[in-house]
Amino acid sequence: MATRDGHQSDRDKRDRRRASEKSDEYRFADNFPDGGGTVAEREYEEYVLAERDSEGEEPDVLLDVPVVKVDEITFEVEELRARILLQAEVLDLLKLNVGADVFIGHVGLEIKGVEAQALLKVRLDNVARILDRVLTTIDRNPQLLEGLVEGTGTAIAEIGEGAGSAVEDVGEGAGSAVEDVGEGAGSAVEDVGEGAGEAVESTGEAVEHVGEGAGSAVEDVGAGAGEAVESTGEALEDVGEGAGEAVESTGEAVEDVGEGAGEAVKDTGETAKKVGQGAGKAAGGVRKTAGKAASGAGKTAKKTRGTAQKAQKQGAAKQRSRTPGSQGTKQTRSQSSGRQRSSTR
Amino acid sequence: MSSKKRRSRPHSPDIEFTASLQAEELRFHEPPETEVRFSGEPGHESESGSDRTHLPENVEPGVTYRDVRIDYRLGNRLNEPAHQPRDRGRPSQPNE
Repeated sequence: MATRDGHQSDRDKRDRRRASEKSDEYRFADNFPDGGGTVAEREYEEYVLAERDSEGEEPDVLLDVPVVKVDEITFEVEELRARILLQAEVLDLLKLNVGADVFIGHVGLEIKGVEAQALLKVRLDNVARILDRVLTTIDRNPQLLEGLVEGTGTAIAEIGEGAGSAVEDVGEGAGSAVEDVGEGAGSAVEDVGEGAGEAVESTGEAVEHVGEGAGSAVEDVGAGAGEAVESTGEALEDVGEGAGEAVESTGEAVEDVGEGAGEAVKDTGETAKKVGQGAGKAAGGVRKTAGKAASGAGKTAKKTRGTAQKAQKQGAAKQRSRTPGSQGTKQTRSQSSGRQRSSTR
Repeated sequence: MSSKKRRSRPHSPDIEFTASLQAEELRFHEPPETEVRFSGEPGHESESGSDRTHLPENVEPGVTYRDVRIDYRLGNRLNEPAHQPRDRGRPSQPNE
C-alpha cells in the first residue's frame, strides 16, 4: 500500500505541471479534467468539448497539431503558399469546389516562449447534402440527362474525331512502315531480281513496290522457269541430240556392231571358212593323218603283226627249248607287251 | 476574444483552419506580406480573421511585443445552389 500511495502521490504531483512541461505521453490525456493550463490548452479543451456536444458538426477530415512548444525560434519565410481545396463533381451536371489559398510573401521574426496549436477541419456534410439534392433532382427530372447525353454524344464525337485522327496517324505511320517494308521487300526482290538477272523497278508506293517486286519475282521466276524450260529444252534437245547421237552412235555402234558383226560374221564366216578350210584342211590333214595314221597303223599293225609273228616264232622256239618253267613265260610276256605298247604309240 | 466569437460565421464551414499562438516575446524584422484568397463554386460564404492580445493590427519592425496571443481562424462554406431545373420537356410538334 505504501508503494501504491507513493505512485498516487507522484501522479498528483505530475498532474500539477503545465502541459508544456509534460512529456507527450501524458500531456493531453490528463489535461481536460484540469481546469488550469495555458490559454492554448484551455482553448483546445473548449474546442474538444464543443465538438463533442455539437451534433453533425464533427469534421470528416481533421488535422490536429495540438501543442508546439518552442523556447526560442527565428525564422525567415519566403513565398510560402498553402492551399486547401474541397472539390466534388457529378458528370457535367454539377461541379463543386470550396477552398482557401494562403500566401505569405516574406516574414522574418523572432519568437521566445512559444506555444502554438493548429487545427484543420474539413466537413463533407454540406457537400454531400448538395450532391444528394442534385441526384434527387435528376431522379425527379430524368429529362435533365438529355443534355448530359447530348454532351456525351459530343464528347464521343470528339473522341471519334480524335480516334479518327489517331487512326489516320496510325495509318500514315503504318503506310510509312509498309512503305519501308515495301522498300526493303523491293530491295530484297530487287536483289532477287538482280540475282535472277532481272532488276525490279521501284516506283510509286510501297504496295506497288511489293506488287512489282512480286510481279517481277514471278516474272523472274517465270523467266527463270522459261529459261529453265528453255535450258531444259536445250537440255532435252541436248539430251535428244545426245540421245540422237547416242542413238546415232548406237546406230553406228550397231552399225559398227553390225559391221563388226558382219565383219565378225564375215570374219566368222571367213574364220569358219578358214575353220572350214582349216577344218577341211584339218579334215584333210586328219584324213591324211588318218590315212597316214591308218597307213601308219597298217604299217604298225603290219610291223606288229610281223613282230608278233617273229615273237611267236621266237617264243615258240624258246618255249620249246625250256620245257617246264614258268619264268620263261613271264619274261616273254613282258617283252612282248613292251613291244606292243611302243608300237601302239 | 472567445472561441465562440470566432466560430460565429460561417456556421459549420466546409473547410476550417484555426491556429492559436502564445508567445512571451515576439519581434518582426520587417512587416509581413500575407494574403488569403477564398474560392467556391457555385457560391461560398467565407471569413478569416484573428483575435490578438498585445499585438496591433499593423506591426512595426524591430518592436518587441510581449505576452502576445493570437487566435486565427478561416472558414469557407459552400452555399447550396438555388437550383431551379430548367423545363427540358419534349419540344411540341407542329402537328400536335
